[in-house]
Amino acid sequence: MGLSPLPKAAPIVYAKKKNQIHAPSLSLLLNQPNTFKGRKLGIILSEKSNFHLAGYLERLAKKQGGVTEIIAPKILNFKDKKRFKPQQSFETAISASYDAIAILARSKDLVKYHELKLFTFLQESFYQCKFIAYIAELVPIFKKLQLKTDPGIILLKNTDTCQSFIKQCKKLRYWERHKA
Amino acid sequence: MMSKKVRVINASKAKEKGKRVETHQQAGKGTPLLTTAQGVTVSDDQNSLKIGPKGPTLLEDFNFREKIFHFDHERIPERVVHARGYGAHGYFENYQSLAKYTCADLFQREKEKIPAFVRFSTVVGNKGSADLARDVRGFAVKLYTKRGNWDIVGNNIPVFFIQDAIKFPDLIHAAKDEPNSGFPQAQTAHDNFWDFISLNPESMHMIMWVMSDRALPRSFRFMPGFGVHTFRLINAKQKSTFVKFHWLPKLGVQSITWDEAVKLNGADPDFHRRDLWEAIHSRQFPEWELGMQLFNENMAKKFDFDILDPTKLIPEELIPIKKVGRLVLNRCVDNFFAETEQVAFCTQNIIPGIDFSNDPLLQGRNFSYLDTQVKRLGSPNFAQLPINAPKCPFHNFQQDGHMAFYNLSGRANYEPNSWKKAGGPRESLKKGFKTFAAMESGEKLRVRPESFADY
Repeated sequence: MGLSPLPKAAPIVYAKKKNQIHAPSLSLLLNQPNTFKGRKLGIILSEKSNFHLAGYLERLAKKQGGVTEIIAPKILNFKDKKRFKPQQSFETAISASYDAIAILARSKDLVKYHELKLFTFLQESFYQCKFIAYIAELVPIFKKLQLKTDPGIILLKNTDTCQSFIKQCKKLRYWERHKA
Repeated sequence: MMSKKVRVINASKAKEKGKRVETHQQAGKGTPLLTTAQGVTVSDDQNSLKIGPKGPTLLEDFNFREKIFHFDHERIPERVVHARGYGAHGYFENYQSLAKYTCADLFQREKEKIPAFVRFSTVVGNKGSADLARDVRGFAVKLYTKRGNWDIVGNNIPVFFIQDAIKFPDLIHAAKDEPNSGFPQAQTAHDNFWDFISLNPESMHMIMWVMSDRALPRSFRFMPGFGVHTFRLINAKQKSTFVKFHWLPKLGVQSITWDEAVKLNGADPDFHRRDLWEAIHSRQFPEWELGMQLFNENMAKKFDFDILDPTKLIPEELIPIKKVGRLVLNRCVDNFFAETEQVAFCTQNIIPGIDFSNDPLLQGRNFSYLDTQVKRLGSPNFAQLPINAPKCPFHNFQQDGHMAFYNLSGRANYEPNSWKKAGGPRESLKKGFKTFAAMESGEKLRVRPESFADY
């Protein structure tokens, strides 16, 4: 902690114990819940997103007992996809509110201001070791932000990759990202 | 844009027509009438009584005076610790009979359910502080059993900072905002606290827990609970078994990162309470299993730590946890103040079949929780509030005090008495609470046991 000077040591009454038992039951890492039940997936959508994949992700998350929240540039119904009702404005949403993130918003749909927000959102999700699903169009942005794609970042191409992503989400965090 | 002259004419015209320009919503069919606290229906709740439209307000306006009087006294003192909290209703379901260990009624019959109320809380922050402080979380459970209310007033961490309740005021003074500056709020990140900790080495075990991810829970639903102290289970033959209580979340334990906590406190300081509210409203009822670590005197003597020391836990590797029932929260409160704010927990609220150990922290808490309610809730009759009242029959000779709802009737307010059927309630040796007859001896001393010095 860089303390200088150190406080005076407390007197020692008992010698240090030998043969202390190990208590793995107390470890959070060793006793992870391995479930997405009760957790929240944030899905970022824009007007021309792949709503088929978005809908599939929603169903998969709910099947695992999780909930989803739609984040969009505006809290207005999408023109042709009224089923997907945005619940959170992209401008004010933060990655910390979610256990996992799926970004299906197309950067072409985002105006300049929102693109900068997307950068921040991505960087924070990455730093928080979240599982992140993304579409191919975002690859240049990952490169621009120097975010190394790792097994905790899943490219969504089809329903199979959606299933892989939701399965990964049960681990809740990709802690290995900080070790890399 | 209308000229001032036109507006005046319009106002006069409005007055001539008997129109009222402010919003008046009238009670229609099926709408309850708005009344004063005395039951008098209110005709106009938008205007105080004045002489003329611009005259002085009249003292005789009882509706106005009563309304403002009540508003002026809405606030009550917040809890001295655990001020920021959130509660929900539910039930406890017993898995199977535990008659071998305890005669406590709720543990006698398989699959029996009893009502429960749980309040989760932070410790250090004020009532208006944010949910995502790095802090111990209170996990207080009130079980409305058929033989009285039992409160397991626990935390989400199995140990505590101090070994003797006499240090609690010092601990909390050091933890909360400094008396001269008035900050920091809801954090122990200041010199007073760390100075206290450095001079109280018994706190180090708790510090390890508090500075870990355990103090930043992702949700109340993903948080364990612990009774902290060693208690006793007493069976029908008055045999004692020591016990440590655990609440094990069915959805597992999950934390957030410090980065997330900092951001969530800004974006959504109600993150935890909103999460619990939304889960219950969407019928995703959170659930915990009640676990017990059971051991006797002989086993306790073999431990290389003292079971009365609340800075120590018993590793599950030594004494496994036996799962005995489940707690489900399935209903949010109807009114936050009436239920969550007015609920009063007390470690001394135990039932036949449960008893205390000599843990000095528990013994002090048994006094403190009862004592603090009088200041906070304003009356010794706080147990008569619906959220605190037992759901089983209760009769005694306690009387009077502020806000006495259930004063006795008839002449009998003492016992023994000779008034037969009109004589009121009586004790029952068979059904009443019996303290475990532990043998105790020694000199009167102020000393910390040597066995507690192991830290």
